[in-house]
Amino acid sequence: MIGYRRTLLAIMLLCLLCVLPAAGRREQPSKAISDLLLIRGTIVLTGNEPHTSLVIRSEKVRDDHVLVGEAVALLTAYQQEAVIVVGTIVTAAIGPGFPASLDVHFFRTPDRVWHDAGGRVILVPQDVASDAKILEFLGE
Amino acid sequence: MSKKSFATNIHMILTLTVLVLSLVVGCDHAELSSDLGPYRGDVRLFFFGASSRTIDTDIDMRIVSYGLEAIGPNGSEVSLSDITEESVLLNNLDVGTWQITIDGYNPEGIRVGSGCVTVQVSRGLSVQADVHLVPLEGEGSYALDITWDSSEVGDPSISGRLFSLSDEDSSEIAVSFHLHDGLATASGTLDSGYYGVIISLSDGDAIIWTKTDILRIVADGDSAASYAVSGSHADSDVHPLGFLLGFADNPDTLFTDSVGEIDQESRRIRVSVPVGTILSALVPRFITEDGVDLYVDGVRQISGESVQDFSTGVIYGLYRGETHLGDYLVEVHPEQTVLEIDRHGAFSVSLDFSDDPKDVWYILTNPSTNSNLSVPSIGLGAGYVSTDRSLSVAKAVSRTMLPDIRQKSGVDEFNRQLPSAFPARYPTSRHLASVSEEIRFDDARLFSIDYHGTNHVPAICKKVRTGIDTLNGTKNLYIWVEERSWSPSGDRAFLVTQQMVDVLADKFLVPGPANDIYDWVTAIYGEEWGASEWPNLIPDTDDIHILLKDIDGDDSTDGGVLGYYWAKDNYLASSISGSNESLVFYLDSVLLANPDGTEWEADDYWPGKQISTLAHEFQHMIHFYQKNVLRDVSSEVWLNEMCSLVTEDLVADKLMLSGPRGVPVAGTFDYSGGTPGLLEGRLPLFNRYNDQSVNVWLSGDEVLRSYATAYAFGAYLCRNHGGATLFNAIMDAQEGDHRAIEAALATSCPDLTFADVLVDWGKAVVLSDSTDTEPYTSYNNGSWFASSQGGVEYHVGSINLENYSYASQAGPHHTISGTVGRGLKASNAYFKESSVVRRTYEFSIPDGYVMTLVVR
Repeated sequence: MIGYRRTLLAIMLLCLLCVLPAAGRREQPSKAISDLLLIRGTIVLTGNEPHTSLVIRSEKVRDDHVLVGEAVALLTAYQQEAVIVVGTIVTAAIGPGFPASLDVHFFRTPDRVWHDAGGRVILVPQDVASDAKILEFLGE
Repeated sequence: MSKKSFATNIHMILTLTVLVLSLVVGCDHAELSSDLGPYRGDVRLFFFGASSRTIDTDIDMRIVSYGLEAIGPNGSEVSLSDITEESVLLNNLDVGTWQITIDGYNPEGIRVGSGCVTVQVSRGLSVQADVHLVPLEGEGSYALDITWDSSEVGDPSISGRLFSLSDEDSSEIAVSFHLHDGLATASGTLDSGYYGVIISLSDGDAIIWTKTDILRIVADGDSAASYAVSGSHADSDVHPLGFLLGFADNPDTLFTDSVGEIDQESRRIRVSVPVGTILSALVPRFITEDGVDLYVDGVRQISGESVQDFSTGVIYGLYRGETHLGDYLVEVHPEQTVLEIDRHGAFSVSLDFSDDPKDVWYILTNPSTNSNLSVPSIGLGAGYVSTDRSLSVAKAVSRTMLPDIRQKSGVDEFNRQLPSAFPARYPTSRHLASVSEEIRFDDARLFSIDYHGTNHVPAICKKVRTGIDTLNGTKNLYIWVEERSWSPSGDRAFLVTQQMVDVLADKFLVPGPANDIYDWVTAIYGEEWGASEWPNLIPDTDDIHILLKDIDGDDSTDGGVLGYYWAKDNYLASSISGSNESLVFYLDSVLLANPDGTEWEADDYWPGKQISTLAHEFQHMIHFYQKNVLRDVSSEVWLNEMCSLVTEDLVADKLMLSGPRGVPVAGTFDYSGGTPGLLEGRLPLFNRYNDQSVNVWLSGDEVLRSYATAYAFGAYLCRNHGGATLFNAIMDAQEGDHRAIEAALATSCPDLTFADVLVDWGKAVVLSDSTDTEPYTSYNNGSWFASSQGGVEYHVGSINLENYSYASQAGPHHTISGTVGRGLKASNAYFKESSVVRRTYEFSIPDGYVMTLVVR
């Protein structure tokens, strides 16, 4: 069952990688890597005080994901900047103002350096490195 | 010709544009003038068209009559035709925004020009506006004929070229002539606009005749000119084609290029440069016709090389060989007080104010919304004297000066003393929306105060106000007070009484139009709730609930969280278990009940803050519905909070509260910029941290800086770009970030970018002690700034940032030497040196910045 799921995801990912560049998109909203989700977008703080949410906003606004976990404090410093986050969905989207939340495992800052959730510099995460298409997409 | 010199020449040629045209394309905003009648407003329009001497077209471009079409609020329309005066007065227009289009007609009744203006009509005020008409766009044709005595020209050849005077990017256009016996003809089509024409007739290698002229192309028109070459060249037709003082040739003296305005009638060239520019040794660039040279005092001038002292006017003589063709007087005027500088890297510029010492400001704008830049620096060169070397730095923060809102520490801070099992008299507050008719005075309910519904507050309904007619239909208000905050049984430092609840209700919702916070705020932003496509949101409801509780359970009497709105309550509890399933916002009860003395008054300090907070939180409630639910966009915090802060500003005079502007209210509302020593409101902290990013929201104690920045920026927008009308458009935009502001400005200022707004905002900060500034740079007109939206009029007071103090620092923070600001995205940083006599400034400006010089 797991193997079938991974194969299906890989096929979906390949299709995504082939179709989106042809459509002229500058950024791709998100891709699944096994159980992980890779999202490339801009860090913004949404909502109103005191109930604000740090989200990663892909080009399409509806693709907001609320970021949770240890990395959030670090990612707050990158508001309005383009980053890549890799993590797992921990709660599904509910509706307006309450998008899905993503527990960030590692992230890439605008200087193209990867960090783990605690902010330590790491090499390209293994889950990402194992996928050549992802690396090609990232230009690494 | 190098690319650079060619570009420079083109730039100089454009000088002619100034000579020929005095047109402004696009729509402008009108300015207020005097008081008039009580309910409607008047508009006086002045029309301006082009009238200049050019090659004639077959279409008479003289405008002899005008037609007017005006579209106002609620579909109001005014139409006038055959206006023969160059101004018109429109009486008794409905209050609101009017889009007015003026068409100009020539004597044959052909429409030859058009212009438009956006006018904000305010009750009882007269508005004056200029409308600049520009020719219609399209293609037209031209025909040029040159004749000469063929017996006198044995080997004729002719060359011609055109330069667009309307388009900065256009390049030289060659004109092909067909030669016959003593006749040359050329024709073609061009886009409408103005073109410089240079034609030269040669006999062999010798140029024997040159002609310069201005060609005007009008849509669907034919422009024709015939020139007869008789004898020698007509001396009086020879003029300089361009004159420029460029920073490339004067790197230590000029910040930017200054293009001279050439007046062929008076044979003068006028160049405007910044106040303080040292005029004694400047190198101009100029272009002339082929074979024509410029001389000063008998010395031939080389463009880009020859140095002149422009402290007084300089006479340039035009010569073709030995023949004196005429003189031009060049005058350089050091008169610019505000100058945007697009110059980067390391450079130095000296300024001299020996006659009248000045304050010199440099504003460093990082216009990028997503990238920080390296920090710029401005050093003070040696050998010059300034009379003011005082240092303006921030001092220790006074506890008493801390603004009154701090970030809520968490959402699950519930009072630990509350028993785990509540008395049976408290039902949960769920389904309040659907059963509001059952709510009665003294009913008791539990309000969930966290996301998961694990902590609750027992509260009693102390106000039921139903069936109130509003602009959005009938509304109902319920005010609840948590038990421990209710007098006399509660245990908080200050307890809520019925009098306080009644005052809150009267401020928020009372019968009658446009007389309460509900009306004033919804008139700007729209309704707070309605139908949606989301099945897990609460259904449409007309009930609004206010819960008074000790937020954070801190029993604080001098600050903390004043109130909040949380969108969780707009969901059904089946989706968010902690939802109260109602439109509810929360106010801190202890602060509301905190009097200045022994007797509680609604206009006491903290009660006044809480009433203002009603408007603030109500905006958040509306924002969620209008943006998140209806437009499927989640606004960034800074934009959302900016709207709330400006909302407080817009209703401050109606509530007789100082609001975030912080100018005290004593009996009457003070619309002026106040007096020195202001410590209240958001602006003291802005003065200290005025280099903060607009679009980054800080956390912890630093969040106060973000509030201050958001208000300062929003207050600027409100006072320069349409007030309540602009904020209505911001809410109406499909975006939730800086693009919402650009979208809102699109109608009145279609070419204005967010970066432009940041630059203008920086100027307004520096100029806020002046009531006479250029458009879009004003915080302060000495009185109110008026606007209207949704049938309600709004007036916000002036702001003079010099009057606000933070600790020992008065006025906007600035540096006087070294690094300037922090290079943060979407921010301004300020440098100032006071009472400068003479100074060399040493700049290190990374790419990306826009620097603005302001001389006061």
